[in-house]
Amino acid sequence: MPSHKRLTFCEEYMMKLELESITKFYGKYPALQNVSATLTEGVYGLLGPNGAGKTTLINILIGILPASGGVIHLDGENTVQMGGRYFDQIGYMPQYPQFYANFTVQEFLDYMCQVKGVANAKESIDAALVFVNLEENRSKRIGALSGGMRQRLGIAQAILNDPKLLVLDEPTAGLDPGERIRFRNLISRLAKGRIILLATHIVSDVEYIAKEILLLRKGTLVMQGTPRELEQSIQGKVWEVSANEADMALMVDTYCVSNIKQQDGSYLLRIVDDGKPLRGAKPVSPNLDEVFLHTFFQPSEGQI
Amino acid sequence: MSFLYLEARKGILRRYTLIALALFLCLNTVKIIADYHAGEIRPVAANTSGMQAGYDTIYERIKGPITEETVRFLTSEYQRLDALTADGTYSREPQEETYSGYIFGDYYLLHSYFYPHMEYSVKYSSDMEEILAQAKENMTFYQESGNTAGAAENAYILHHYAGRTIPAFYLYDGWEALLSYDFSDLLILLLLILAVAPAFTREKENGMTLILSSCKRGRWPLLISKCGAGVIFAWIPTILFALLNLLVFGLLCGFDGWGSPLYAIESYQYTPFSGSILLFYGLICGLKAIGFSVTALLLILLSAYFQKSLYPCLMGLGLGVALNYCTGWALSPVWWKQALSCISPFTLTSGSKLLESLSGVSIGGVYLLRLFVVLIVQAVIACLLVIAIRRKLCCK
Repeated sequence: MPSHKRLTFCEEYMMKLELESITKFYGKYPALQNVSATLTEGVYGLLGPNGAGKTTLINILIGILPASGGVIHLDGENTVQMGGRYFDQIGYMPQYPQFYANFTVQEFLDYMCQVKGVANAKESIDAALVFVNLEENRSKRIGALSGGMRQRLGIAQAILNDPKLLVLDEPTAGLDPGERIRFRNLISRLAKGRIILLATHIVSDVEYIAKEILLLRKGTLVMQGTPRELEQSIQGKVWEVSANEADMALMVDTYCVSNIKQQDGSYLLRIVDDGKPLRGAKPVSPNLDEVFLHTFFQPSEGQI
Repeated sequence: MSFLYLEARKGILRRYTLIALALFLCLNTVKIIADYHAGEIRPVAANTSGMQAGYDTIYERIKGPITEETVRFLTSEYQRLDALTADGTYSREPQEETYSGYIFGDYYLLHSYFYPHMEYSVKYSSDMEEILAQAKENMTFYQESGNTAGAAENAYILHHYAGRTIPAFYLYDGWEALLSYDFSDLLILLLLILAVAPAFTREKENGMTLILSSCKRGRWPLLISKCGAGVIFAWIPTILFALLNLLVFGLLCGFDGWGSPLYAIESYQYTPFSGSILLFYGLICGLKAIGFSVTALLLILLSAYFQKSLYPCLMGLGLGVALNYCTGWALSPVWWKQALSCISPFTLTSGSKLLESLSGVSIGGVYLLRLFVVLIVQAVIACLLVIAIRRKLCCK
């Protein structure tokens, strides 16, 4: 069930994005059903498996897809009624952006300033390039940039208009671990003074930087809370079991196993289950991966 | 940097487009030169050097303003050679006192090139007087019988064909070939397909569609800049090829006669256009540019419907062939063929055919040239295309 936190006095005067009963139908198929959430300054993780409705929600948020029902308010103003002004407040970075290989970094950002209608393009571009540490590469062709540099360029174009709402769709897809960490740090630094919604299915991307996480399943917002709150929500549902090789294979087939660790000739398994799975199972503290498993995968859906 | 420039730089001003443009300009030049040497532009050019020298000598003697002296010279020379060759007893050996080196060669030159053209130029004015007298008679008849369309057409003839005369004599083989030369049109179409057809598919392939759609100017302004860049690109190669064709044809055949009225060219004797040949060339190049502009919009629409650049390119090529076929029906008496030719933007790219002779429709007693009908239809189509592109991209 979606959790609606009561806003404090201070939060009421902060930047605020409110989603009220957002619904989207493709024909008769419901892609989103009554999604309600309130987002304030900070990083929000949007987690969900493929087909959960993440992309649909993002497309509605960035104003390119009309909702079938519900409204979105940015600082109390209906975003549909804001019209073009709403686009001034949005920055968006899609998954696997290629941009234009024949453009230089500078040309591309010039172009994006034109499309976004940024008045002081030069200053905005300089600031964005410094922020993403690409100022040395402004004359480099985009086709010659590495994957990580291209992702940083994606961030640079998204922040050119200094948006209040920054939506990042799978921003770390295809990056090596080092680049992913650098990218996460970049996002954290961006969070001051804006709402960042980071859609991903890589739990570690949001585990350390997200103020709150929204879990979306089959078009429904099933949970919203801080990582700690989400972990607490499955307290007592994660178990550690020691098993030999034959039992281990059996358990993998039977239970939702989040981790297997080999230890002194036996195996240490972490099992996510509402009840105690075996007599020797010990309850352990859950992590965010296990929240993800518990929310999105049932044992009946097969082996994880 | 302006939005339009960056839009053009993104899709059109790319290395492969510029290389293709340079290659096509070279190919076009080679084609004209090859045609010239094959005698397709100026038949005499395919003959011996003696014939060419004879041609040049006679032409230098009689070209320019038509005077009694030039007409008398040409007529007397033609009659003399006609008499010499009539009984077949003329010498077949090379002779000093001839233009081309041979008696029959001289006769051939006068008979095939100079005499008929001079005859046409001299008689044009009186022939036109007869046509005007006939038009006057027809107009009275149609007015009496209540045929407003017929009356309007003849009134148009009386108004536009009066006072026509050909003051100077030139041979217009080069100009005639230039006005009907259309190989460069094919190359421009290919360039358009290469550069403009991926307008929107490129955005999809690069994952830019969503980014652009979420920007303030990512809808109408973007669409207008894309269409604008496409239209400008349609004009640039059209102008480049037009200048190149003019230059190459001029260097091969000479620029003589550029200021003569269009009807000085025999195949344009009934043209409703009364301006000079060079002006007409400018006009048809403008029509080509308009036709290619509509083609560019059509390609952009196709691009909006596909995900991969290959499909609008292939589809554009297929449509190009089909619409070009419809262009052949521009002067057909069958109404649906006429309608299809009006829809085809390539009817404008071959605009010289529409003005070769008088062809039009009478609407409410006003006679309108078919060219204007095609232009109006194309303007409407251009607007509809822009609306269709907007509907496809902005109103999901």
